[in-house]
Amino acid sequence: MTSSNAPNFETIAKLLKKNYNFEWKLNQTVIRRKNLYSIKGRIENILVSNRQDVRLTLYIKKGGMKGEGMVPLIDFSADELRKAVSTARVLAVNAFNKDFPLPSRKPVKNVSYDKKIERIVETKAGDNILCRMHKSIMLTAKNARVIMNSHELHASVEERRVLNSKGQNVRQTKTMIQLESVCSLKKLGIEREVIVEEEVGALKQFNVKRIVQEQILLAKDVLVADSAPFFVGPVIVSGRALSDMFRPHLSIGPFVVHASAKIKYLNLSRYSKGQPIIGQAEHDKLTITSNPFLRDNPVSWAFDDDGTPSSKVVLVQNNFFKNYFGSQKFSHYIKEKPTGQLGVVEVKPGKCSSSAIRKGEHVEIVSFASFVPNDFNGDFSAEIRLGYLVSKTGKKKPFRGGMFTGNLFQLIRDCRLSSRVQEKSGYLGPDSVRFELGNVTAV
Amino acid sequence: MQQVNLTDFSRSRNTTLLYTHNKDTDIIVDDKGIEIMTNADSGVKARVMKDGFWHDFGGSTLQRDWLKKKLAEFIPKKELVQYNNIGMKTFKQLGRIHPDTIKLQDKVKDLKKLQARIKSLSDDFLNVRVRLAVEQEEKEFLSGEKHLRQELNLCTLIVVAFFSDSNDEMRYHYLARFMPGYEAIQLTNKEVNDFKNMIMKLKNGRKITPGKYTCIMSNQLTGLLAHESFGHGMESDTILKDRAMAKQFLGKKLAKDFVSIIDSPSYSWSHGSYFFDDEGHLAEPTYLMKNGIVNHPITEAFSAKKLGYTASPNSRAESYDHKIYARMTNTYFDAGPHKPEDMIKSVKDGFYLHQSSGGMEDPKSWGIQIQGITAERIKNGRLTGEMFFEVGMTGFLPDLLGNICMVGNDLKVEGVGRCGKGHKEWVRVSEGGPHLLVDEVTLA
Repeated sequence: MTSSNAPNFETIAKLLKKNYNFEWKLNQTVIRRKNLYSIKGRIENILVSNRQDVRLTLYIKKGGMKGEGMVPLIDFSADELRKAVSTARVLAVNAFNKDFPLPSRKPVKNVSYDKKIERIVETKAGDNILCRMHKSIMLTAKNARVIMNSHELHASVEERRVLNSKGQNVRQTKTMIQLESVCSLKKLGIEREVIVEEEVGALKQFNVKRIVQEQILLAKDVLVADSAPFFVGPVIVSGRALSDMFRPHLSIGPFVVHASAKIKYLNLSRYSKGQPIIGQAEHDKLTITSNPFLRDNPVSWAFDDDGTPSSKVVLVQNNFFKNYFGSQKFSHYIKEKPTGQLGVVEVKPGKCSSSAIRKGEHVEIVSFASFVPNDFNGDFSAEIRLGYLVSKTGKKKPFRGGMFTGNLFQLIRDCRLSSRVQEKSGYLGPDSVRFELGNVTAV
Repeated sequence: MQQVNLTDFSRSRNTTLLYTHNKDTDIIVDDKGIEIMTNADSGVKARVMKDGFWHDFGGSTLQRDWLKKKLAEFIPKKELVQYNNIGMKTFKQLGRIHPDTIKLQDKVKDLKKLQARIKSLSDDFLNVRVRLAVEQEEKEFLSGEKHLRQELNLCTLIVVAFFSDSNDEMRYHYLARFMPGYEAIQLTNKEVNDFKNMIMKLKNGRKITPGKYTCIMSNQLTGLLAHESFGHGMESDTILKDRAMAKQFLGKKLAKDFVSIIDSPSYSWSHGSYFFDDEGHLAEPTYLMKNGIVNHPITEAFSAKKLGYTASPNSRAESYDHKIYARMTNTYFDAGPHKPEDMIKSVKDGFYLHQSSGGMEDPKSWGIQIQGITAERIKNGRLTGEMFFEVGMTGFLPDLLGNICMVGNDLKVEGVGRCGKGHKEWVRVSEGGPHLLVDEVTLA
């Protein structure tokens, strides 16, 4: 790890082993960033940062119970370590829960990272690469006569390491590059904008020109969009709007949260192993897998905060609940195999072609303002940023505003999944889903 | 003890330095056990204005040598300036009961007692989680003209009860409160009883029929409207990007005379309060709307200068390794002349909007996007106990502001949330206001 005040983990581990008779864990995270911010084509800010966190967790056993105390370390001398241990001890003796084992020494799979992104973050030449991307964004917008209001390019390298008293010693590097851009179009005194956020783990997947061109197409439709219609019937959710439904920004989503070992332990899961997750279903059935090894996806991680190696695990198969995902602690509590943290949410595609999905009169939603479902019961009401009302003859009329409302567990009972797939950060699955019993409410 | 001395860093005339140290302890007690999580994060944000834009460098305390090197490389020797001896102003808000004066074991005991008290309200609870978050925040700001330091204590209590409704669907209800000191943990019998009564009512909740309704907004909903729907559109960096419809309404009347909206980091100790912002501006209120007229945006220095606005104390970054933007603090509608009970009495048929799970900004179109609202029907001037949940509120903000008919005299700013710019850059904020009576609110 390239950090100026890097701790020598082996020395700390030796000190802990020599002086203390309890279980422990050390976590180190280093995040380095280089970001470029632009307003209307002019650079507003360039940010370079370097963050390092080191944490020590102590585990104290007493009568079948285990107390856990975690403290940050900001100095690595024997004296400071003694102080940290004493603080962690106070925390641990006040937080006894049922005992659980720490992960023992196990290898982890290698998850890829991109040296090119690392070079952007680490070197002066990286500034020029970001500036070239910035120019390409502006040129693409200019050629399409679109106003590029603002954009942000974020490149980062994250390194994680976990070491514990059971001999587990794992480390991993991840890279990420992201574009958040806002463009707008004006016509007859009306001005409307489109926001896109795209993040990937490798530079080869990051084509800013393509991202902006797709954004411009959306902007053209948003500009001529009408108000939302009242509509009850087939609603197709596609693209980013669909990945937001399966993997919302601010939570892990209703279909997945109930497969969490922690949620099960807290008595809040609606799933039971081997039981259907919904009632009688029509058409396609849902199969969801947590995949932490998807190459270059920003949420792929080889191990979790405890150092538990990640596993690919089928959560739901043909609408039946199969397996929980979770840390060593909560998996042990519910007597399941630990899988590490949630990976990419993979939804098995269906057999429907793009045209079969879009048959007859329907509404298609391609962008939500924000999709924030109630994770516990699946209820949602989401503002539509761009949708289309499509007639029987296939005539498409764009609209904006209005709300898509309902319950995800109800909607999924009658759905068709596309055979075509898309990959977004944290999601791999159908690029469109047709919900037969959708409900759009106009303003 | 502070591990970084700001005067150790190279500095030009156009450099500002900000040291931040956050120490958090979270204690969670639920039916299954207890979790104690501690965290500490400290670092320095250095900003240098060069070639017409800001160059930001952020390094954690563990990376202070890296940061020193970066600044030394970036600032040419001839531009280096010495530190003048500017007197440092210090500010503190540590609460009535400093959280450090209570032993951890006593905090745990208190929380266990509170969890048991809530749990005893009903045999039907699936789980009850009680969380006390104690944050201690220190900041030191140094520029050519200012040297400021502040120490804040921030205690947040959140109680969540999970239960099944009459259709066997899982629901939850929460209570959240903020105080600077440990006094946050003391709930009154009335607060606990109100919490219980709301859950009883929610058990028979159902979905609303979409339509336009006369609504009374609770203090929380009023705050969400001030923050999500109005406030985000009044951020000067958003205006500079031509992303805010507010720009064309500046100086124009949108609501009746008794409607004013304020953002103030100096509002008497709420979750978004501080003494100075990340660019060293001292806290004071900004009237976003004054007597129904769209008044003044909140700003950070770059966009304020470009747009010719007076700077307001709203420059904030999530952390030393994030960018500074114009951000809200405590955002609220000012109190009006009406009594809340009179407002409810005046509604023949409508809804009282209790709580919401959150909202999203739409500054370009000034759309209202608030979701997860719990609504209660009002019939002939009385709350009926008939509940509706997961209600969404939508519409065009200027229309809604124009439809505010009554403003309550019961101003409260009690929000305990974090606000994002889109889906990132989280900063602590609060929001609130008095009750509002609004006609023609679109609910779905």
